[in-house]
Amino acid sequence: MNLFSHRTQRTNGLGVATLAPMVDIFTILVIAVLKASSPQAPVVLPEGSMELPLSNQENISVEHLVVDIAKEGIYVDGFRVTAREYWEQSEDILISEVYSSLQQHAKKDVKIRVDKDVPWSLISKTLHTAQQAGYEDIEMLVISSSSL
Amino acid sequence: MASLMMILLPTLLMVTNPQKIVTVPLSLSQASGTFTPTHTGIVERISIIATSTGFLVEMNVRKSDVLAASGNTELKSWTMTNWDSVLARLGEIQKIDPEQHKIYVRPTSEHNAQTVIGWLDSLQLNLTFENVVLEHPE
Repeated sequence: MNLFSHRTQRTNGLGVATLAPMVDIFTILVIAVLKASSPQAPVVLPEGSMELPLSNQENISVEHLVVDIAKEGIYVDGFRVTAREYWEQSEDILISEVYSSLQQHAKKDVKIRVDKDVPWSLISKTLHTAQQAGYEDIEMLVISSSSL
Repeated sequence: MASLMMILLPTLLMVTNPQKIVTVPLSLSQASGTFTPTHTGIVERISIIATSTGFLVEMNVRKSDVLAASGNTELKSWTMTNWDSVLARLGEIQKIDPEQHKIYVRPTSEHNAQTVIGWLDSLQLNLTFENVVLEHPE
């Protein structure tokens, strides 16, 4: 009887001592997870090896028409339109395939998703092409550095 | 309470997306456009031109009437070897004209997306240049 009451007392003491910091830790963890995670659906990239650049910006994106510059190809709205390597070496600053594809979509805003190692010359050509196709609001989609 | 948290945390980890996608607004210079100053302060234009060896920071300072739409300007330029010294120089330029929030950036063809995004971040978030205009590499 004595042994039982002694055990009960010790368990209660430990419980109170450990529960408060544990709840604090869990609360902090929940807040951290909520802050670092995104309510959007997971990103589906056209090529598995593609990695988006990191940024400290905080503007959450709303996906519209997306142009992807991946490691091998350039995609408009998920469909491959041309090869990346050809346009990387080309002297032309207007990517004709992307231009015609963007004109078919006939929208005003477009998002660009690029692999982090894509040279700026190709990104600049793509941005110029979108501008020439009549797109006024051009934004780049990147991964927030506060992601998990 | 702890049991509730034990259930809540794994559930959150399962249902939320760990990759937060954000947007970087891009302002592009017109391919054949002429420069029209919209800012009437002492510094008419600031530009950063990346080179193979570093950076060239250029500043057009008005010599005469600062209220004129396009003044008689003097070009000052500095050659920098790294990005930190560019930021330090831009900080000094901002002290001359704190109202100038527009800057032109011209990366080289060799710079990659991550590098340029890093520049945009530091210009927009650290130095409050709200309007960063990207120019086509030479």
